[in-house]
Amino acid sequence: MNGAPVEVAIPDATPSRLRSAAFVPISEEGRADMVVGRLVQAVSVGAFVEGERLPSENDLALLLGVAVDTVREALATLRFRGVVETRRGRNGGSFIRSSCEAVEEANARALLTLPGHALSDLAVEYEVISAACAEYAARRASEEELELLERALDDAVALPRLQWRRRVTEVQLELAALSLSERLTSEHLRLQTEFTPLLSLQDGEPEARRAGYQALAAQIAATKRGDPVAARAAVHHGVRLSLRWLSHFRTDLLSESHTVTLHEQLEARRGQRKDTV
Amino acid sequence: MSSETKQMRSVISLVDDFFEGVCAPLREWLPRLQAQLSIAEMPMSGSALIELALPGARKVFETVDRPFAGVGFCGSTTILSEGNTLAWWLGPEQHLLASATLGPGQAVMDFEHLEWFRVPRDTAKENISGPFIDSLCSKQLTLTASVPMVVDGQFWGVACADVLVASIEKALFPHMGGMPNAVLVNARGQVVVSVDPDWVTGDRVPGVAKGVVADDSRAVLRSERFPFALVLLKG
Repeated sequence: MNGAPVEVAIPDATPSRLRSAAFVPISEEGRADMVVGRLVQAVSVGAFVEGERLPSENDLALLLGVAVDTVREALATLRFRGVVETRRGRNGGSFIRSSCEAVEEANARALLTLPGHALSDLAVEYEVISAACAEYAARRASEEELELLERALDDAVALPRLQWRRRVTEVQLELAALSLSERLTSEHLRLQTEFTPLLSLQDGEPEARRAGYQALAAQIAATKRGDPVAARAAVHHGVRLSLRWLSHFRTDLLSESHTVTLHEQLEARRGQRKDTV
Repeated sequence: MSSETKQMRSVISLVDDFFEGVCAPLREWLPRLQAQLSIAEMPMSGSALIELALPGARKVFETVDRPFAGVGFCGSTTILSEGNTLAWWLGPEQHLLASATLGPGQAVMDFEHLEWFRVPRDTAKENISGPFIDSLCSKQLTLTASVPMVVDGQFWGVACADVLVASIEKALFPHMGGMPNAVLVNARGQVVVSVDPDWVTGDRVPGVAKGVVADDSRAVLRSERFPFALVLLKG
């Protein structure tokens, strides 16, 4: 060895974007927030229902691959936000609270932190994947399978808010799986999980709910007819409607945000809805 | 008999052997499990069912020379009071399907409409469903054989075994040389596996669903024991 500094050879064609993505810092302090986000998401999509007990702190740590302390910190935040409550004793643990207001607030906060273009970009990706699933489902699914989904969706109309969203999400996931594409289905699941919490913000409004129902019913009908073009169009229409609603909602919230808190804004909206019902 | 017919017969008999190999250990397991359930306190919890079903499920995994993607028993509400209705293990490590990953949604809708549960419940007969994307377990294209447990007219659940489409390909393809336009379809006419590059698993081949007779454009040979048919597409 001559003591000259060792140079690490980097090939000229290194894809620098991929490399910088690989080295995005993993911050310990951000992890609890990620756990909070994941659990709020899980409640929003209906993976956990009101009154249900979450897995234990140790199980959650194991499942999510984070430290128990991180889980504890996340649960404390969720408790503070009113999403979970903790009971002590033999049958104790963290339970999902029956009120969906805390979840709505957490989701509205997530919407507000998303820049407008990021929101529409998420919708674009969701639409592209869902439409591709819809096309293949229209080519491949049997009438019998779709009749079951039709019924599941129709039964959902009368359900309370949280159950409604859970059922709609199940129908959407099932429709995607009928594409019989492993890759599209898993991609769709990822996007559905990310998008559903935002979509669920519409559910307090009967009109938005009806529009969502109609778009999904149209998609099922087109799939049943074996019409890939119409199935794609129904997805496009449904996503555009939701994106429109969400953008509108987001702008509304932002325009009032210098005078009232998010909590108060959502309360006021709920009050208005009660008046009109 | 033409050589084409001969080869079709031999492939169909391989298909029969394959699914016989999937169903036989389930049929053997079911009466033993039923006897155990009959003396257990009912309705029982999901975790009690898991304890009871484990040794039998392990044996199903072991008795076959082919890899099962999953084996388990899904109980009906007649025998279960609380907890998950699924006592299910995933191969090849045979680890328990974590109850934490099963949401309430599954209980509400999925089992009720999934073919491997619904059809044997409604018909009290064995069933093979798929190919479908197994969103609970393998996340892959899967076929599920399910055998119902019916006691005094009451449906207690189904014993099931999952096989991946990939493992059917592995069993059949070595014997399908010289049949470049062959596809194996299910009762709905959906492709299970295909040698023909124009058709892939999941596609629906028109005009070959159960009950449809062969025409000039294709030769069709149906299995007599399982809901599958071998189709040779011509032209």
